[in-house]
This record gives sequence, C-alpha cells and structure tokens, in this order.
Amino acid sequence: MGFATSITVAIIFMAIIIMATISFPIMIQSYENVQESRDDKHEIQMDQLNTAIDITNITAIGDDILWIYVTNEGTTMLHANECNVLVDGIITNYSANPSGFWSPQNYAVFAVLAETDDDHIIKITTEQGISDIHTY
Amino acid sequence: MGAETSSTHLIFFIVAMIIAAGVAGMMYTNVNAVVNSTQSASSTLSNQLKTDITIINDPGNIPESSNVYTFYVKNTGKSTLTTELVSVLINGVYIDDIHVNKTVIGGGTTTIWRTSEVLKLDVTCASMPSDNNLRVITENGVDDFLEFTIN
Repeated sequence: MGFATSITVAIIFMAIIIMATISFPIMIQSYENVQESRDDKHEIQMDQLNTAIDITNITAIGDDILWIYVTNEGTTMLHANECNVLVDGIITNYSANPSGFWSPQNYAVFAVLAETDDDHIIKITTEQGISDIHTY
Repeated sequence: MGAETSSTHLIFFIVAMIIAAGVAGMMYTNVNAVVNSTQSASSTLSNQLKTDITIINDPGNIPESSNVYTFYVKNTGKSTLTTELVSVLINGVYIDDIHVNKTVIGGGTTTIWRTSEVLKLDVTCASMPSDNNLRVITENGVDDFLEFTIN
C-alpha cells in the first residue's frame, strides 16, 4: 500500500472516529429522553388503571350546600384538591376534606354550593381523569 | 525516479487527499443530518409520550348559553401545554380559533396549561344536532374524544 493510500485511509478513519465521538453522546441522550418519557407514560397509564372512585352518598346541608361522599376504590393515593366537581355539567368550586392526600379505601367529603331543593347530576373527576357520576 | 514520475506521484497524492477530504466531508454532513433528525424526533416522541388529556364533561349535560357551548379538558399528563395550540373539532369539522375562547381555570395565565389544570373551551356554534362528537387535539397530536348529546 502506497503512501497516498495510507494517508487516505487514515483521513477517512479519523473522520469516522470524530463523527462517532460527536454522534454517540447525542444519540444516547435522545434514547434516554425517550426511555424516561416511556416510564412517564407507563406511570400515567398505571395510575389511571389503579384509580377508581365511587360517589357513595350525597347529603343536603341546609338549603344550598351539598356534601358529596366519595370513596377511593382504587389503589393509588389521590389528591382531593386536584379533583373537579361538575354540578349539572358546570364546573363548581368546592371544599374537600381531606384536602390533601386521600388514601385508598377512605372517603373524602366534597362540599359544593347547590340548591338542595332541585335535582342535580354530580360528576367528580380525579387528577388522572377517572370519574364517577351520581344523581341527587 | 525522474522528475516526471515524481510529479505524477505528487499529483496522484494531492488528488487522493482531495477525494478523501471530500468523502469525509460528505459523510460528516450526512451523519450530522441523521443525528439532528434523531434528536428532533426523540424530542417530539418524548413530548407525545408525556402528554395526556381528558375531556371531563358530563356527556348528557353540556353547558350552553346563546349558542356558546362549554367544554372542560383536563391535563392528565406530565407535560405543560400551550392553550394557543389546542385545536377543536366538532363532528369532524375544525372550529376556527376565533370561535373558541380558551381559559385555564385557576391558572395564572391563559396560555400555559399545566398538569391537573382544566382548560375551559367556550365554543360558539350556531346549530348543532342532538348527537355530536368533540375531538380536542394538543400541540403534539395527542387528542381526546367525547360523544355528547344536546338536549
């Protein structure tokens, strides 16, 4: 192999080494980003599958307050302050007890302002998007 | 070795260097393009995987006032979204942004839509049959679908 061929092979070899050195960390970073996101997706789906709520009772307090008793029937810890309460299809402000962690097999009480003389459709949705609906 | 032979060898050597440098340059350009595309595609896929939305309306009880229908969409994923890039289709027809008012309930700004927050969509629609469907699509193509009735 002549000198020119040797130098040519060396140039191409060096170029391949430099390209691999530059590309490898970026490819690994991209792969790790996707893997982390796959873990997040898996976690979202696991939480949704492990979440279930049941509106067990609705009680009128006075003329304009409803207490909605909701049981956490799933196996995930929920957050009552991240739920949403729809009264007759409209999102309504509420106060919840407990307002923070809401553990499995325990109930939370959601208090909403609503005319207690009228019929209502109540829908409660958790932070994972799992919901239950009940009529009053 | 005569001067002619030396010159010929020198010319061949220079040409070989030029060809080698050209090949290395082309390889670098192509590899760089592939790496950049991989980075961009992984970023898109990553955002899609982390995004999840849920339409939380009561399908039989859609709030309506003067042809303005209200829909609630909850961010149930792990990524922060931009409300300006949310698209709404009712019965397969794209509703232009001038007919959709987007508000994040309890959000500090109307454009940033964080995890667990609810986006309120006030859609102006002149006439709607009793049975309808709604599709809400986020900036990265993740969507949710709801069939609902208008009483």
